[in-house]
Amino acid sequence: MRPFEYAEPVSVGEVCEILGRHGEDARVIAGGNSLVYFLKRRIVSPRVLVTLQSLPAALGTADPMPGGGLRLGALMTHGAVATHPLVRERCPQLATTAANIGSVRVRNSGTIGGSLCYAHPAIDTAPVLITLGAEVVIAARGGTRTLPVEQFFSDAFKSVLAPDELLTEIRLPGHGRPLRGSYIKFVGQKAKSSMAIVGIAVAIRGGDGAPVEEVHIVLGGVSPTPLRARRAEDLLRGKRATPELLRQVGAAAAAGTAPWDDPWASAGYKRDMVEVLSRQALEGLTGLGPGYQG
Amino acid sequence: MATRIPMSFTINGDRYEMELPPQRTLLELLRDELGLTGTKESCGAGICGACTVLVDGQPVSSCIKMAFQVKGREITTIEGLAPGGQLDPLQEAFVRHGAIQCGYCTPGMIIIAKGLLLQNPYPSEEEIYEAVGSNICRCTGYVKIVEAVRAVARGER
Ligand SMILES: Cc1cc2nc3c(=O)[nH]c(=O)nc-3n(C[C@H](O)[C@H](O)[C@H](O)COP(=O)(O)OP(=O)(O)OC[C@H]3O[C@@H](n4cnc5c(N)ncnc54)[C@H](O)[C@@H]3O)c2cc1C
Repeated sequence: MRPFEYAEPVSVGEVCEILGRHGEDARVIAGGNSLVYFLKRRIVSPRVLVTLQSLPAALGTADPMPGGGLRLGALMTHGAVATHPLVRERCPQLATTAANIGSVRVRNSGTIGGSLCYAHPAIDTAPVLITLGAEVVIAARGGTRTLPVEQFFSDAFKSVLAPDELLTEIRLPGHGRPLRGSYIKFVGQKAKSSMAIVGIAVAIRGGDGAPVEEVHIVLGGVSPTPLRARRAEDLLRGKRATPELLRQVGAAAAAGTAPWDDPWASAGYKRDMVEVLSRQALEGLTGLGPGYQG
Repeated sequence: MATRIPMSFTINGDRYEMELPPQRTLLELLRDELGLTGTKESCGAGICGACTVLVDGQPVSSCIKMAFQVKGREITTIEGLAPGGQLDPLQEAFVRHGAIQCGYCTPGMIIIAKGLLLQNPYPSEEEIYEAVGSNICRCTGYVKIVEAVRAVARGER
């Protein structure tokens, strides 16, 4: 690891000031799950390392927002997201997703904000957050901006954050009638604590015996950034689910992907799994099947 | 540039005040600065669990933790489970059940099991598998490790 200068700011303003002053030469460290490995391998070698560990406690908590929404501090660990009563009540699929990230060691350190900033193509948090219409709050010296999570990623391992920006918060909107959703983390023959081969997040409104009013399908691991399956969503929106229609929806979701071969799965296998699993997920939510059975 | 920064820790019940270069990992602090070599390094990426220690009772991978990240916290390593040479029930159970072959993963296995039992004194079979299964053992096939943890959870001596 190359030597670096150490900074331990106690406010978001102070972080932004340091980042603004040093630009590309500075990095923040949240849980350190990904960054410490990168530092050791000299994949990144910042001149200044800015630790977020002494920021106000609110950055690590979840709080209700008016209208049934929820704000999650960027420094909440996956373990905290998984067990927080408000998250479990209002966004159970997010709590379950967090509970299945990595190992207990990963969940005790890794943060929800860090996982978005890390921007691994198969990160579990992003697809679920996008199906729920979540936004991120980003702070910089000049003020804050808010962005849908869907627009946060620019490429594999890259987000739209400028070097002087800090992700502070994730906001989950309230819904008049909650979206019902699920996330399938498919690891195939890999250990359960590994990153997903493909991840499938779906959320719908309606669809329980009535037409599907609203549908969101977001895929992880099959393109450089989380992929919204728009053509598949269009096929289902406004219609009553049938086995045949859901087969077409699954096929449309798979057709829109651009996966690659890796040591665990070929591109074709990933595409096939997207087709089958998105169909199974939607069958589960519309009462046409048991859903994904692991 | 501050080449060393003041840090304090409680490690296995003892309080340490030291000045360290900020680029020390927790694993390096334990093994290289303090000689607590029970904690092992294997993958170096937070996957295998050989370097597992408890921070405020929660298992973490010390190879991907910076020492400064645990300033002011309470750290427990495998050495801390046997103060004065008196083995922890988990250590005794690992010996009794033969849950050790080459032994390299053992400190991390015992610590992750300790973390589990601290959180959840009566874990289900699945919870035991999930915890020890996230640490890698290439010798035993896990059966005896699970038996040892189960025995302690059931209070068998
Ligand atoms: C062994 C292992 C298994 C894993 N398995 C999974 C899995 O199954 N599913 C999954 O989804 N993830 C998995 N992960 C990723 C993990 O969940 C963490 O979320 C991820 O490592 C990053 O979170 P962190 O808080 O540790 O960030 P860090 O490692 O501290 O930082 C990562 C990057 O994000 C930047 N950053 C962090 N926080 C902010 C912020 N608030 N604002 C701006 N920039 C920021 C840092 O500068 C750095 O570039 C795994 C990681 C490991 C090591």
